[in-house]
Amino acid sequence: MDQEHINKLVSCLAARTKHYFAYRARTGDAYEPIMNKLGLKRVHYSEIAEYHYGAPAIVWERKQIQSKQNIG
Amino acid sequence: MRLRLFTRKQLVNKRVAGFHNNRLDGATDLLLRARDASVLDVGMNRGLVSLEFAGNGARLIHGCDAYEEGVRTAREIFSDIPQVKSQFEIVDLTKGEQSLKDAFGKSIWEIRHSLVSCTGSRAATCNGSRTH
Repeated sequence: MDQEHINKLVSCLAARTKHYFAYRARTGDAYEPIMNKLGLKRVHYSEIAEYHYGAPAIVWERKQIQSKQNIG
Repeated sequence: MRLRLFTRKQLVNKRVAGFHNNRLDGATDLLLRARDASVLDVGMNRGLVSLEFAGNGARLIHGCDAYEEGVRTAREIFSDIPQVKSQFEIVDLTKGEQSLKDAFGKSIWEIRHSLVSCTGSRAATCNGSRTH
């Protein structure tokens, strides 16, 4: 699977998310513009997970229901 | 099997005790938001993360993986939990989003899941990360 194919798939899944979208990828930062375009805001990035597993856990949330509670 | 819902305190204790599922490491607080949620677990392996969501009150769980044995195990586990509506399918996502539709049918396209978890190793593999 090439990167373009993966991005398309991730975008499709993220677009179908009502509240939260969790993803584990080393290239997570690269998804920031895509997620913003889809109306998702990054609410969590786990450096601990990155340290342990080589890929961080990243959680995006739909902007309109963003809560005050922290994730992680 | 009667499913026991975890309280926030129990969930924290569980995490501190070090026996939560690795795949959710760094994002376990999502479990606290699982009550009454619908979850799509992409790269679900044997469905143990899905089981965590179910244990935290998720009402509908869809899961997919290319790992056939894992999918069969998940179906077996969830067959004992009738109070959670679940469907697990073998899906090869390298064939694109259409493969999800083919496996789950039209119904999955009518639902917008509250929570989509792509924390499986396959998702990581696709990005060249180490699997575990």
